[in-house]
Amino acid sequence: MKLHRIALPALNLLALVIAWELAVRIFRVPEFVLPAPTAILATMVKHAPALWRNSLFTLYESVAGFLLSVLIGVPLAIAIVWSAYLRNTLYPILLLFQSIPKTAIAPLIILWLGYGDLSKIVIAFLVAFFPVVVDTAMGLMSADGDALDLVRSLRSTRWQEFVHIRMPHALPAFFSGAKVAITLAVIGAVIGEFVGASNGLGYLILLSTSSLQTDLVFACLIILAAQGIMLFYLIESIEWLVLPWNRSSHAQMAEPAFNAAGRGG
Amino acid sequence: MIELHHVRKLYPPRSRHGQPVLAVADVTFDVARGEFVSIVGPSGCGKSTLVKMLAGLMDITAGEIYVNGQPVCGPHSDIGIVFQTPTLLKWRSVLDNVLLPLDILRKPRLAFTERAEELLRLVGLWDFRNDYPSVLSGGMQQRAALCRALIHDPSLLVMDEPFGALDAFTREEMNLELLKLWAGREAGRQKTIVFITHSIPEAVLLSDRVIVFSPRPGTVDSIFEINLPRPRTADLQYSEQFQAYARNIRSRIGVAANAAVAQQNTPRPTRALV
Repeated sequence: MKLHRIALPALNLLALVIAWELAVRIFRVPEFVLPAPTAILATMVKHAPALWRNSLFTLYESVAGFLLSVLIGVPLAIAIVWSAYLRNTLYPILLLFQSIPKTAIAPLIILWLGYGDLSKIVIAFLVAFFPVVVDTAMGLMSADGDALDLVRSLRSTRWQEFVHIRMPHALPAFFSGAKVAITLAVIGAVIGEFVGASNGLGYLILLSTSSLQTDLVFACLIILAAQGIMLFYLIESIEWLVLPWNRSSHAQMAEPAFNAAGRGG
Repeated sequence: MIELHHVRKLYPPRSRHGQPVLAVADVTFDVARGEFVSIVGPSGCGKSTLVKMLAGLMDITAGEIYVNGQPVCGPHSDIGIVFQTPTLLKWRSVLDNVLLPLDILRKPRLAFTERAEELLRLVGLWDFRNDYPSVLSGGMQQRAALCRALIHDPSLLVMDEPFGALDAFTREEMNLELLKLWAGREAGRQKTIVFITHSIPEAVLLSDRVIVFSPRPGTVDSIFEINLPRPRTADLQYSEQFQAYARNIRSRIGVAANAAVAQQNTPRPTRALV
């Protein structure tokens, strides 16, 4: 079961790479249009130090932007659910803001915050924080009505209602928002680097495209994809660790119920 | 213990052109301390509305409700509620779920661990105390919910069709367990139970009195005293006396339902009045 989940996609990927390699060789595609996988691999080895340094930079910007989106997005979601006044005032502003393409305001951010890492972190944050807010707010609002009635019947405070019912209930929704946000944060960081930077994979892509080093562009793309996948699974692992009660919803875990039946329930 | 005087509940219209809905029309009854009273009636007779008003979770349009001599005008924590669904928090273990009311009431857990163990052992869930609720069957979850409703030792227990979602065997088992819990433990300090159900045999088996509600708007149609000996057993259900009670109650529900249908076929000026 577990083998299938890893082996099958890996085999598919391998087949794709082989087809790619063969196509480039058979049709004699020029290297600056589409380099062969082996050529890309060679470039990756050759430029390993530069790629490593720049990817660390992009990684740092994406993660920082993501953390900022959680740090600001979650309290914002709580505020929206907490008070109807805040909901009516904040939500339209958020929506308005979200409808502005972040790519379009990236130059402005660079202008305000400079060429350094701060502007990239802010752009990554801007691109990533919306799903965190929306998903967390949805999770907070969709708490079970009977459960809320139950604590209210015991004269709970609103804070207790949040701490004991709404927040734990919202955690799975928060994590699905976070998983979207982390991949968006990588995109945001790259956008920032495209617009103005002297470091990072986005900057390297821009630089290599202008000098027709397509193999280096592909090397960057591969690293970016790997980074995105790694970060996604990092969040998923954290979710798995933090929410042991929610594990059964992640497929494969039909076991606990079976065990209970075995114990004579 | 509980007194209801001409209680009325009118829901405001859902939309601008909608009509207000009269859920409970004019309900008057009382429940003595330590009494087990069931309320039966067709669906939509305002039973769940009544539960929320008793718990102080919903304001009353007109009339008064007294619990322990105090008028109800908000939640009063001397109550345990069991809903139709177990409503266990899936992120808490069974034991932590049972202890939830203490967290809300800001009472020290430590003082109640013995009581929690006693309750969980009584319903056969002590071995599952560290499991998540998702591991338990529906009946077991509802048992845990019952323990949770009792942990802070409320004098009033309100149960809103608690066993409606269970299969017939589990349901019967739960009925007898509930009776044991109610009668067995604290002699002289029996809890007052208001039990909402749509099962007539269940109501007869459990109750001191059965109150029959008419369909929407809910009113008290009739009240039956159930003079069957206690402790009651499952076999009791096959006795003639039991059957007679069930039959009589059934006939009242039929009458109440027919009356409502007849009323619906005639113009309803009452709704426009309020």
